[in-house]
Amino acid sequence: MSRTSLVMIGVSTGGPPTLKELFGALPALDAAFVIVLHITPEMDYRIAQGLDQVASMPVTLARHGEYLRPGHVYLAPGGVHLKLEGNQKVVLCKGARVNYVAPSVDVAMQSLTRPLWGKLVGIVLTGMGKDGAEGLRHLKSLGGLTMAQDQKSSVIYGMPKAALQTGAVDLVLPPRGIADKLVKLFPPLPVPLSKAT
Amino acid sequence: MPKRVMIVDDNEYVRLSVEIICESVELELASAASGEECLRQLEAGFSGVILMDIMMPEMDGWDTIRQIVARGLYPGNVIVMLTGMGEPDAKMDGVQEYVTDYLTKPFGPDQLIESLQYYLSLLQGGGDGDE
Amino acid sequence: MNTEENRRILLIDDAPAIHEDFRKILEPTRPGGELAELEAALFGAPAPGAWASFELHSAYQGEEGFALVQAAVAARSPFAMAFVDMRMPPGWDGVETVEHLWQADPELQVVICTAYSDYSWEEVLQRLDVGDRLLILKKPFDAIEVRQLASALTAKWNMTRQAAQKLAELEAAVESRTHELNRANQKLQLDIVERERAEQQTRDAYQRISDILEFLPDATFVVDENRRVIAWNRAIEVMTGVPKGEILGQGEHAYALPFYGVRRPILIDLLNETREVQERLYHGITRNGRTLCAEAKVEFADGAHYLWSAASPLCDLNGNQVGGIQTLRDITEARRAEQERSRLEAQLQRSRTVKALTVQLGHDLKTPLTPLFALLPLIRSKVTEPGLARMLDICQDCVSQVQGLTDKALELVRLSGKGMPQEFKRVGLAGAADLSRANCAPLLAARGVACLNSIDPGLAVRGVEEELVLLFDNLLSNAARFAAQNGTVRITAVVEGEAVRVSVQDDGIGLDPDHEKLIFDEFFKADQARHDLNTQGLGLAICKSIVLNHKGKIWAESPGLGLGSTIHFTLPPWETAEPTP
Repeated sequence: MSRTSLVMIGVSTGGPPTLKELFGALPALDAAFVIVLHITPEMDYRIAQGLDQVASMPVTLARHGEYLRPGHVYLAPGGVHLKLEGNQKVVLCKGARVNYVAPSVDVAMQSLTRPLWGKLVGIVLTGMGKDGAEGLRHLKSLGGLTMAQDQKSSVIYGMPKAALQTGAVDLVLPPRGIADKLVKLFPPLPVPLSKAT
Repeated sequence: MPKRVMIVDDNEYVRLSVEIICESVELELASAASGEECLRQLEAGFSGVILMDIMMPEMDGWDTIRQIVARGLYPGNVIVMLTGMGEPDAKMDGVQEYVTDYLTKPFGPDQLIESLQYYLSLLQGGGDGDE
Repeated sequence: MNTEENRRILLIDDAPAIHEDFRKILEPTRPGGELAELEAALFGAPAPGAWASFELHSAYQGEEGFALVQAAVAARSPFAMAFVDMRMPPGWDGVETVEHLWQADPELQVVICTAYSDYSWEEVLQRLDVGDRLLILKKPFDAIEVRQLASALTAKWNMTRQAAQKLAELEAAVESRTHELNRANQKLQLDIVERERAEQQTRDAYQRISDILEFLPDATFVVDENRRVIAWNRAIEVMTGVPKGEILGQGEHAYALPFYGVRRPILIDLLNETREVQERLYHGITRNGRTLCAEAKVEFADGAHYLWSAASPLCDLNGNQVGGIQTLRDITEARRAEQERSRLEAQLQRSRTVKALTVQLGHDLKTPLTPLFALLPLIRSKVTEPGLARMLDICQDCVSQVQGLTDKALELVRLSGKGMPQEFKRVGLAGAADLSRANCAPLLAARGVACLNSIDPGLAVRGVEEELVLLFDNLLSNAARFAAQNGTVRITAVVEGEAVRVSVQDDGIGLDPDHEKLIFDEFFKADQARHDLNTQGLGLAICKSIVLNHKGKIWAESPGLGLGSTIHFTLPPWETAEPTP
């Protein structure tokens, strides 16, 4: 069972620039970050690269069988669903689209279990549709903290709105606000991981 | 290496404005007045950042994207939607992952340039599709 | 039965000489003579040549006589009378003989001949049931006496017979007649019973129909062939307020009075009129067989009512019209509901159109704005000459304004175009206010204005989150503009009865009491002279629109100019009370 805190972020349309803003403002924190972005296999690597360039923490595409490490950002690859075993081991699986997408935020969040150690945070950012609403509800039921992006800063308010309407959202914030909150929640990473050039 | 940006909009002034902005930062711009024209240019070999207006006569932005994907023309492109509307309609369901960003009109030149540079950086990245 | 006159006489006497005498008296061989003259004088002239003779029979003993009488009765040729001697030894005496004779023939007239005072009359009467069929002849007797008696008694016998016959005939006739009468009577009785039963049935049926009519839920009245009201049921009493006692029997369009205030033809009067006349009186009248249907608007004490009515003729079995029946129904509610439905449909249609237009308008406005937005800064960056630069700045400001106004106008249109009830959800009020504070942070900071949110975090309302945040946005940006420099804006909320009242208070320039209501009107600006290009008059109108969408109220209060102002608005609370986390 993982001792690492986990932050899972679901995002779609308008994701890349928003993620850039968010992670640009985050120092290296003692938590693992998993981003589920609605993306195609053609673009996922590039997005991860672009984000890696601006973020304080390394950003890579999540690999099947990989164990999550704190202070690291993992991007779910395009075209497949991402699940976590024990909240720490990456399991990629082909499957039918859920909410019209793969990877689906709902699938990822609903694969989580109640953590024995560490904190669990779920965030739904800008995007069209309602992927992530049920996932966030599930995450909340596990005792996690939930956040949704506010309307004003959302490129498209669909997903955060759907999440809000489940009644399972604790905080509504713009990206900067989310960054501030995350900094308050997690201590800085003891030894920042070296980043690939 | 020429940077490649395409504007797809049925309004001439919008296309011109984007062209002028791109020129000011030495970005090469391709121009299409309709979804059909966009597809033609893609088939002719264009790849890059596509700024696409949603509301166009005959074939709207969503249908154009579906056509791009269906014809296998998506790889190597970043698609950004341009629109005067606040919220997209349900026609977007199913193509979310192909839309990288969503810009609302009107946008200022600085905002556009910044976004274009970011999108172009996504296209750059080391290698093609290796994980 | 022997209808001839009965002249048979029986003589019962033991002395043969008597028989001879009697024969001479009663059966003379020739007419005339001394006896005849005497008789003629006494009895009137007999039929010429035919002196009625008697037929005399003899018996010398009582028993013999009895046997003869029996035989005569059996032969249906009874004796009319008998002379009976009182003493006829050795056999029966006269009385005993007569007793027997009468047993055999009770109608036999009898003369007892007696020489002696054998019995007194009383004794005879005691022994015999005399009646009026016994006479006594005392010996010696004259021939005349004998003949008188014979004539009289035979005549009597005959008359008695006749009388009896007559009586019998009469009785028979009477009985027959009585019988007939009885039968006729019985038949009549049956007829009467039958008739009464039929009448009772008719009355019952009539009563039933009357009851049915009386309790029909639809107002109904019936008129006879003279158009006089003969039925006015309970429902129409209630509808018109006119009790049946006041209108039954009335004619001359009395039934129009409760509806139109005047006596005039109404639907029931049109049953036999031409189409033209019918249509003139009731626009849109329809016919269904002989039934007419129409709608009309009438004025009752409590206002206008729409009534639907149908009238039909009443006909007897031969098809003759004997009256009419009309029924009315108040369709005011239905009509109003219909009108309301139409209105709502129109409203829905309008809002759909508005939405479609808005989307189109949004796009069409933004499109020309784009080049302005995009190119002006580029031009400006290349211009160094101050005059030109200033002009371009002005242009950019204007474009900015246009863009702001466009956004706000579209927002307002979008909000007021909402015809359908939205999905209201639970909204944390404090959270919404906080979001808005974050949104307006730059504006507030620019003038050093602090914003305090003291809404209870557990307070929730029923509404649309994005609209409420927009509401706060508009209020806070207004408050930021009008608050005192380095002043404070306070946001509070309190539950008041069935609503939550929120207040946004600033300590700025305040409001003229006359303006308190006007500020919510679109484009109103408190200070016309202020050249503040950033003030957009639509802000409060948008707030009003949002509050109205939430079925609340919004109003402003200010102690006066320079004393700050507070905007209050009410929202529906979220039902379930949640404990503060």
